[in-house]
Amino acid sequence: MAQPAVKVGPAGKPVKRRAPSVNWGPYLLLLPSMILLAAFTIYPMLSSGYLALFHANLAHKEPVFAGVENFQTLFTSDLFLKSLKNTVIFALFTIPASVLLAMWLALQLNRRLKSVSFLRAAYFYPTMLPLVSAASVWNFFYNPHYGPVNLLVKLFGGTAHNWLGDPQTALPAVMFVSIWKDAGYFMIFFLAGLQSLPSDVFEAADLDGANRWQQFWKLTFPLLSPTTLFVATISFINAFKAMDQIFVMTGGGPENTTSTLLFYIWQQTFQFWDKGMGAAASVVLILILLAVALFNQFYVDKKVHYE
Amino acid sequence: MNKKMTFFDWAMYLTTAAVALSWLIPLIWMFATSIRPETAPVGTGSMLWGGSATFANFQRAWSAAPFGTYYKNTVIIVMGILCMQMVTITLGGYVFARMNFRGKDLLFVAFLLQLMVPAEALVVPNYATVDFLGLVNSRVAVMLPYIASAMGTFLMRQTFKQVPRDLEEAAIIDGCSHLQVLWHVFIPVARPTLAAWALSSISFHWNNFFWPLIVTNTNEVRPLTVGLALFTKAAETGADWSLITAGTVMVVAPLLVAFFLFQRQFINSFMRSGIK
Amino acid sequence: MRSWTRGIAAVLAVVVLALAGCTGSGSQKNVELNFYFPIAVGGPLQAKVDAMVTEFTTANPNIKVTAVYAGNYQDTMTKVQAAKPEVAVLQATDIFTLTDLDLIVPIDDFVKKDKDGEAYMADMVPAFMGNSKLNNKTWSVPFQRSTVVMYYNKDLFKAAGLDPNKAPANWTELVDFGKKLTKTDGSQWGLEIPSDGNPYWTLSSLFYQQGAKMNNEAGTTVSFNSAEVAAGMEFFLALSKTHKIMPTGVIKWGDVPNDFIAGKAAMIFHTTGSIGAIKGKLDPAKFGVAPLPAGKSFGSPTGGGNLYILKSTKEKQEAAWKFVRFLTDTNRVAQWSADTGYIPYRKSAMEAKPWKDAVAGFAGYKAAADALQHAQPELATHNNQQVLKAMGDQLQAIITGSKDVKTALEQAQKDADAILKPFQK
Repeated sequence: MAQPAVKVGPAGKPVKRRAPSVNWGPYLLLLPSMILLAAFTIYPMLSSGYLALFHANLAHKEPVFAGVENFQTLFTSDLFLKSLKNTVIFALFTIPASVLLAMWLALQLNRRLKSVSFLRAAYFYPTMLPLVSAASVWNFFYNPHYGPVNLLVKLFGGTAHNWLGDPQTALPAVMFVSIWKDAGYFMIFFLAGLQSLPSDVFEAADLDGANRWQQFWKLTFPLLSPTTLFVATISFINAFKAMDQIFVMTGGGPENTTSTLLFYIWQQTFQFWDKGMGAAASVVLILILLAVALFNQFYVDKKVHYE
Repeated sequence: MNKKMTFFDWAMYLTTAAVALSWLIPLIWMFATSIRPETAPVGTGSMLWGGSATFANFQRAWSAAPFGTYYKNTVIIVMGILCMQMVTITLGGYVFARMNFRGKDLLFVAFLLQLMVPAEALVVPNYATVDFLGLVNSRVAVMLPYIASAMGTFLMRQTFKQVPRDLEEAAIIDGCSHLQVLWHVFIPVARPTLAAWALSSISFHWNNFFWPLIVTNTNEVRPLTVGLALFTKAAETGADWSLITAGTVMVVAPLLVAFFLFQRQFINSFMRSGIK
Repeated sequence: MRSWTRGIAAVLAVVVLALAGCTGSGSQKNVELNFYFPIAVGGPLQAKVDAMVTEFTTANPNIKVTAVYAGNYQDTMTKVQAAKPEVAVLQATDIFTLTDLDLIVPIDDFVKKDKDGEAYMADMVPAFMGNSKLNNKTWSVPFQRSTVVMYYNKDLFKAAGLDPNKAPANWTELVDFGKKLTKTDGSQWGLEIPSDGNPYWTLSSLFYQQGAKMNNEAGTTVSFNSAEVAAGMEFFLALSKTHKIMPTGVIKWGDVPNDFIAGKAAMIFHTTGSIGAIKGKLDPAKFGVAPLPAGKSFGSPTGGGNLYILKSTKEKQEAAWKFVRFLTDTNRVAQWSADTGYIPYRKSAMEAKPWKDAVAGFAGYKAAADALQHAQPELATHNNQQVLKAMGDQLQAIITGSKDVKTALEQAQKDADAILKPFQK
């Protein structure tokens, strides 16, 4: 942002800015933020990398330098690879599901009907609940004997299922809780996006005889792409942050099918006391997040349609 | 979009409405079970109604765990974070919006890093830092990683960028320093954004679980979410649902009530604080 | 300028006062102890622990004990490692981890100094001291101990034509009764054994009933792939697959008591610690408690927490020992057990009034204590958590059907061996 060197005031005479303090000013004003940022965002990323190079666990009373051994163990560990896979599946499924659901809800609720505000609240309220609490309620819902999910399934003629106890269905069950919780939150962003769409473009399309579907695909959808990108990014981060519900609902099981990367990190560090492995896995997590963020910034962002 | 609704439109809308009702079921069940008498255990009889209503579960829950202390801790933590965030994001937003200096881009990237790698991913090293500072098991430790909020800073930067230049110039001509300009010109304009940020920060931190779990050990400093989770995870016996839901209701009630009363403000605030 | 000097003076004054405040407490001989404990059973136990702590502090005014509820056993272990309190209740099997982390001190010296020290230790029920000894030293005393027992619904027994006072005594009877107690529409199952989380503890009862020995005393080797363990798992699978008296798939620990109370399961395997919770919701006349049915022999694992004294100053350790003796006093043990359903771990406590009253009120308590005769120490090794998980993962694979018994147990053995290798010097 370039600023002219000399500003001209109302009387045509040059206005002098308070020059001397400007040099220190920005740094001083940023100092509190920078200290905290350095301590709790930047330093941790580096120290994970450092600690990952050591054996620091129950078998080694003092940390012993290990080079890349932790990473070798990591990438040959069934549990780690499974956790990585689970997290990727979590992301690959919840992102499109959440985006599409939220977009559809926004389209439906973007109307001037009295009932809209009630429906909006109905979808949005889960955002106000702690994920831990929501998860404990869903624990009951998935109960094989008397949980409402099975009651509903039986009502439609299906057979009751042990949702959280079956390795095939546990992860989908947990993913659904995330989708349920975030739907309203994402819907709001799409609503905001829809409401800021320029109406003249649509009027022109109407005049041209374009029907509803064409308008949606050629106009609405592309124009919403910044919002879509935003929602997809948050959804991605949520998938890699997924921890609260796993803690309460499945503890990583059954058969480690709901063990996510962050859960694995927590388990290694705080249950098995293997700080070296926990750090190594953290490094992997950090690198993945950075890689995706950079990809977003330099590639996807360019393709997104900005007005 | 003001178009007239076709049959198809109505069908879609009503489907959405029906699904919305199902979205509410967990909430309804939670409240219904919390007033369910102990003599009508969950799993027997009707799912929603236990025959009579009782508040005994709340009493039991209140005496089974120090919810009063948990409330106090949550309020201290949430307010502490918010107050300090107000300072850091305002200063930070102003600096990035209006000042030029060496290393600005680099520092900007440093902030961006926080958006890319959330605090949860850094739990392990952050715990070590807190341990090193001797702050394990303190409310301060819960607050520290969140005070310098990149998201808040960017939000304020966005808002400040839209402040009309002439207002600013007028103040400078009057001889104001940077801080005075900030206080008299920028902040008043940004008040709605700050309010929006406040709502979103309070909601997030009231409900935060993982980091507080790691960093608190005793009831004295535990917030509601951690207290509730420990309360729920009794290892050697079965789940006492009326008790668990009573405890849960106590934790979620404040935010939920505030939400249903001030729905529009909450929703607007989330909208505003999200768009980059 | 003046304001500066005033400012400095003020700061100095504050600093001096603060320092004075710090040194003030050194003059009295007050000892402060932090006591970390988990709660693993339902009920207002925190209040009971606090009551005991208050009693102790009143009787010992120069020792201040702060009791800290730290979650379940695993959470408590995490917190203890971070906070290093002076005394804590942790799992009996944590002994290896705690000594590896060099956190605890042995209690032998304290016992020797006590006049009744020897009698005290001799009074402990042997089954509960099993996980307390290592390298010829004793490291803990029991505090809240349990074992796996069978709960059975007398009404449902009667309805199925079975004697409501006779629980199945062996595996054959278990299957037999189970078949009579299962309704084909799925509304009632003969048996439920939980298998979520780490199913190892509950299922090890089946292994012990086959005569399996799970680990060596030094905690450096395990025996997961033995014929006995395989036999135990085959039987477990048969219960749902062949005999169809148990639901298939993983059954949640937390759901089992609820299912029992609701009459959906006629017999369940669960901890003695659940007696209190079940008695609270189900009329005691309607159900009974019994030792688990015998395979080749009776058997069940002990479980629960012991008291450990952590490393600190000599003064604090002695105060901590005093506190431990207080908590484990005979009458207190009896009362604590009567309140919670944990089994008394002192022989004298079994004769004490509070316990005898509890037994008179509900015969199930006695059955739980009787089950102790056949109880064995739990699996305890170095890096216990990870070894348990290795086994638990494979057990889950067997239960869900993704691996057969032999393959899974071989994998468990292999994984455990790898984990224990650094400790096998």
